[in-house]
Amino acid sequence: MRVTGPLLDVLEAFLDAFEQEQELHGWAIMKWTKRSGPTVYGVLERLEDRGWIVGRWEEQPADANTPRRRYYRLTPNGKAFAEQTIAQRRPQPYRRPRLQFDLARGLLRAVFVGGAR
Amino acid sequence: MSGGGWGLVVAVLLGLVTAEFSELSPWLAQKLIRWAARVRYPTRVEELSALIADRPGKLFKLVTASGFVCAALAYRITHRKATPARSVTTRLGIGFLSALVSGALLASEMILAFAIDDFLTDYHTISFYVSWEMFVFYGTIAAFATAAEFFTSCRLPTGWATATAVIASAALALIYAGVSHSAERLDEDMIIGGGMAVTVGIGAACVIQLGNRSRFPFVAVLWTILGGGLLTFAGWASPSAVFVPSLGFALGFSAGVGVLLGQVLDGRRQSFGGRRPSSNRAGQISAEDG
Repeated sequence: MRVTGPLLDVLEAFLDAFEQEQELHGWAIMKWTKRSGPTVYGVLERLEDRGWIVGRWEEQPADANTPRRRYYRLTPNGKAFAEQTIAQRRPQPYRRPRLQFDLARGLLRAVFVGGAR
Repeated sequence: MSGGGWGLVVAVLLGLVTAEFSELSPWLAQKLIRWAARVRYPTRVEELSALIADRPGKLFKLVTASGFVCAALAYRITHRKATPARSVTTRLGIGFLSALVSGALLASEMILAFAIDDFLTDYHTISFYVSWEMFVFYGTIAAFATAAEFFTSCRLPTGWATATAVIASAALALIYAGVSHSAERLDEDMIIGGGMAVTVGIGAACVIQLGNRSRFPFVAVLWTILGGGLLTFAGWASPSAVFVPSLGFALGFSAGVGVLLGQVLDGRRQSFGGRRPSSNRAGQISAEDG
C-alpha cells in the first residue's frame, strides 16, 4: 500500500482511539486529522478493503429520522500495520499545523518584531 | 425613494436572503451528500448523511457536502462504464425517433412563422411541408441524430474522431446545401455548407472527446448548443439562408435527443457510479446493512 500523509494521519487517529478504547466515526476522523471528507473516506476505503479496519453501525438513535453513524476501529492486523508504519515513517508524534494559527502568529511576528527593527 | 431608502431595502433583503439560505443549506447539504454518496460511495449513503448531521455550522455542512460532490464528479468522469454495444436497428431507431421529435418541434415553429407571415402578407407557403424537400430535411436531421448517437457511444482516438466528425458533417452540410437550394445560389450555399461543416465538425469533435471521458447527459445539451448555436451563427452570416438557423437548431436538438435516447436505453443514468470493481467490500457492507 502506498503510504501517504493522509494515510499516516488516519492511522494515527485510529491508534490514538485504540489506546483510549474508542471507535471513530467519519466526522471524528475528519476533525482529528484535519483532512477533507473525500480524502478521509478514500483512506478508509483502502484500509477497509485490506481488512485493517472494521466498521459497525451505530445503534438506532432515539430520533428515528437521524441517520446512523458508522464507527470504525483497527483490527489486530490493522493495529500491527499501523504501529509498524507509524514507527517507520513518523517516529515523533505528529500534529498537522493549524494553518490559521500559524498565519496569525506569522503576521503578528512580522508586524511587531519586524516593526521594532 | 432616496438613495438611503434603497440602501435600507437592499440591506433588509440581503439579510433575509442570507438568513433563508443559511436555513436552507443543511437541507441542501443533505441532498448533495446523498447524491454524491450514491455516485461515489453507494454503500455509505446513511453514513455520510450522519457525517453531515454531525458537522457543526449550517453553511459548513454545505461546504463539506460540496467537497464530496466534487469528488463524486471527478470519480464519475474518470470511472465511466463500458458502453454496451447497440445494434444497427437500435441506432437507426434512435435517429428516426429523434428526427420525429425535433422535426415536429421544428415544423410547429415554422408553421407558426409562416402562419404569421400569411396573416401579414396573405402569401401561402405551407405547401413547403408536403413537398419532397421535407424528406430531405427530416432525413438530414435523422442522419445527424444517428451520427451523434453513434459518435458518443464509441471510443475513437482523437485524430480519427475529429476526422470522422469533420467528414461526416461536411458531407451532411454539402448534401443539404447542394440539394435543397437552386443551382443559381449554389456558390453561396457552398460557402454556407463549408461554414456548417467546420463549425459542426469542431463541435462534434469536442463532444466526442467529452463523450469518451464521461457519460453525462450534458453531452447532449452541449451538442445541442454547439450544433444548433454554431450553425445558427453560420446561417446568420448569410442573410439569404433563411432556413439554416432553424435547421441548425433542429440538427442540434435532434442530435441531443439522439444521445439522450441512447443513454436512457442503456439505463446508464440509473446504473452509473458503481463502486470500483477492485473493491470487494461493498457486498459485505451491504449484507451487514440488510
